[in-house]
Amino acid sequence: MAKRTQPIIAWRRPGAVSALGLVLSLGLLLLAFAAIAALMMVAGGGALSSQAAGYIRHVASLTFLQASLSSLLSLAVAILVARSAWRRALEWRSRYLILFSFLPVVLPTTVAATGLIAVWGQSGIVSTFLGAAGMPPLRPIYGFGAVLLAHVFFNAPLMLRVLSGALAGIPAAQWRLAAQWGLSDWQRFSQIEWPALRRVIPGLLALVFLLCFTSFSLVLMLGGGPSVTTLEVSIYTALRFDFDMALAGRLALLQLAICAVVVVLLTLVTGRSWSAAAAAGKPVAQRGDAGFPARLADAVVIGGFVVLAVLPVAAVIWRGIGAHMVTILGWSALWQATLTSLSIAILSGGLATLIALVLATARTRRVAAGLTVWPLDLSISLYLAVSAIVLGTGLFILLRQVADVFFLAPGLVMLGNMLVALPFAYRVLEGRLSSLARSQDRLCASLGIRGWRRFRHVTLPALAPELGYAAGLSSALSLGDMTIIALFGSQQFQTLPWLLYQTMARYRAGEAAALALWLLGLTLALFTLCVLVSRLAGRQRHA
Amino acid sequence: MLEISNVQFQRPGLTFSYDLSVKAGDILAVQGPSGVGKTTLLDLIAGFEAPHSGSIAWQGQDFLAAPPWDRPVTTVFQSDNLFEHLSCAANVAIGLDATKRHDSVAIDNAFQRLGIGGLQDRLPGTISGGQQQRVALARALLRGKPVLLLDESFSALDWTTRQGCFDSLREIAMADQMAVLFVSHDSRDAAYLGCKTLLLGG
Repeated sequence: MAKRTQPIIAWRRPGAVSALGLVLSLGLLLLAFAAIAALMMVAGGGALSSQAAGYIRHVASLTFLQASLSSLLSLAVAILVARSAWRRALEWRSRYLILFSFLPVVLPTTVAATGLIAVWGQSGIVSTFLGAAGMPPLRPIYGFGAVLLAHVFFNAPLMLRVLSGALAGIPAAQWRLAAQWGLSDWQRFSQIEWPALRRVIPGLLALVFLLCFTSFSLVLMLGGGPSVTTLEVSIYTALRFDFDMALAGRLALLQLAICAVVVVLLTLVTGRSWSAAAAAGKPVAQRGDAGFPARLADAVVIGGFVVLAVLPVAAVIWRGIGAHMVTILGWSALWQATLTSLSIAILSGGLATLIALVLATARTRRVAAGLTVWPLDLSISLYLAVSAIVLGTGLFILLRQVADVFFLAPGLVMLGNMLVALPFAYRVLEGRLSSLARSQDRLCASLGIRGWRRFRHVTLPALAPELGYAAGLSSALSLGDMTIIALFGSQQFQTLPWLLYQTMARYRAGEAAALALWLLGLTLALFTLCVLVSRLAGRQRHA
Repeated sequence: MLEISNVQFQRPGLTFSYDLSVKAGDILAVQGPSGVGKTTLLDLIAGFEAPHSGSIAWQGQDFLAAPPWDRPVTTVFQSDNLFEHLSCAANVAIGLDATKRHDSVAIDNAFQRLGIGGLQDRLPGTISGGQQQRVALARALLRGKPVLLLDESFSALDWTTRQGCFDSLREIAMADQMAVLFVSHDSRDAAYLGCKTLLLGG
């Protein structure tokens, strides 16, 4: 009787893609550690002056307070709106609300800042209405409150999508039982909705805290001065204006340490599921009070959210159309920045998607083969903790000794943007690839559909929507990014967000509004193009 | 003849042993309570699991070293047999050798033979569960492999639909001289087919 020892049976062998994934993850780890080592080198080990220590403490505590308040406020708004929208999910308005909630995810931060000023600024839409009612206008928007408002604008919709998914996952029978038993609104919330929501809230809070903690452009544009700053902005100031490498290094390392703790917590509380997509629960009629007061309350909540989330975008469109658009179209700087931004966005978005696809495929194959996946997980999680500014600062310090960093700026901006988008693209693809592997691995092995044939005819058509979303998201994030360009930008090398920021800084509000609309249009067009191209690539009806 | 000789499969706390044979043209029903290794037996034959010892051979040739796609075996699973984005005809074609892939006449004939003529251009999501399983059966038939494994392939169907599938299966096994093993929970299945039954864990 023959005895066999087969550690991995033939159909589960991870193949070349696993090796490629490991090589890529090793490269990513090396890059991150090189940047961290450079920061440690300049930070030094000496004691800080009491003034510098006090400054770092002040900035760190302000960043912490801002991120905590931003994430808690976003959560409160998202819970309120998610409940109202879900109660009225059979109505078309709620369905569109969920659809529109996607908009801030791809919206460039510079455009959002322009929109928020157009709505909440001293001469914004709200002030105009107040003036018409004989009331004084709003005070200038800039400051701590504006930063909180901007973070709620960006993160409440993101949380709304995930919380709506959690509510959609509640079995219809529970709603029907609640209706039959005549549960009050509070009982329905505490007994049915909260148990579903609390499963996703810790991870969601940690993620949004991380996003707010590492916020850069919004704080720079809406903070209103050095009194409202974050670690990110302080690193930028230390590097570009004070040329204080040691302080920049210390601030970057502090930020990295705090973010690393949050990423570890994020992994512990949620595993890999923090990017939960909106689930498609079947609507049932018995989800809440259908009486007039309840409907009115929900309409107020939903209406308020529309004002918060949709009005700034509408304001960008409204204010951007006009004579100033004709003016900016005559700027050579606009066309140069457009070309630069689009080239960088397409390259970094494409590269982020491609690398995410290789890493996610490698992970799926290695899981099936029972092999370890921690190098892949670590290389992705690390880039959640290493923010764009930390990475950029590290690369700046590392490369300035051997090359002219401003000469390398286009490549560095592309690399930085790609790495920032990578964890998000990876999460989108990895979840879908895992589920495809569960349902298709055996069938494909049984039918001998392998390698490129499997990818082209089976995986690609099924993965096309996620590939399009990942590419669109990565490109949009890159197109709207103003973090790395702030470190490496110059008069000779500027992107659209940087041009917009500089136009705003020169108080040319009309041109800035037109530029914001131009950037918004390009972002949405690029995102839509990615989705359409992926659908075309995935079209496969006849093998 | 499919011969499974002294095959042992071990998992922590579990050992399954198999010793059986199925002639070409015969159908063998594999029954028994949950956890006795019915699906494991099919997985071992198909190459999804590797035995600790023993041999599995077709017409005297041991094929244990071969990967699933090179074995003289085709499987119809309980679910997930079809790719949702492909038409029924494309689902059949994708499972065939390159030489047979574009033989649309053979595909049409197989659909007619299994009573699903006219469904070639439909997507799997638009046809019933019974029809989907017949499409998978059509593919298994056209692949020309001499051993057919059915892992509770029809158990989700109602009894009348299942009878129709069994009629097709019996006809295929006889006409194409296939050795068929099917896992089932329902003793009516073997009785209807009038085939031998292997009772595991009994």
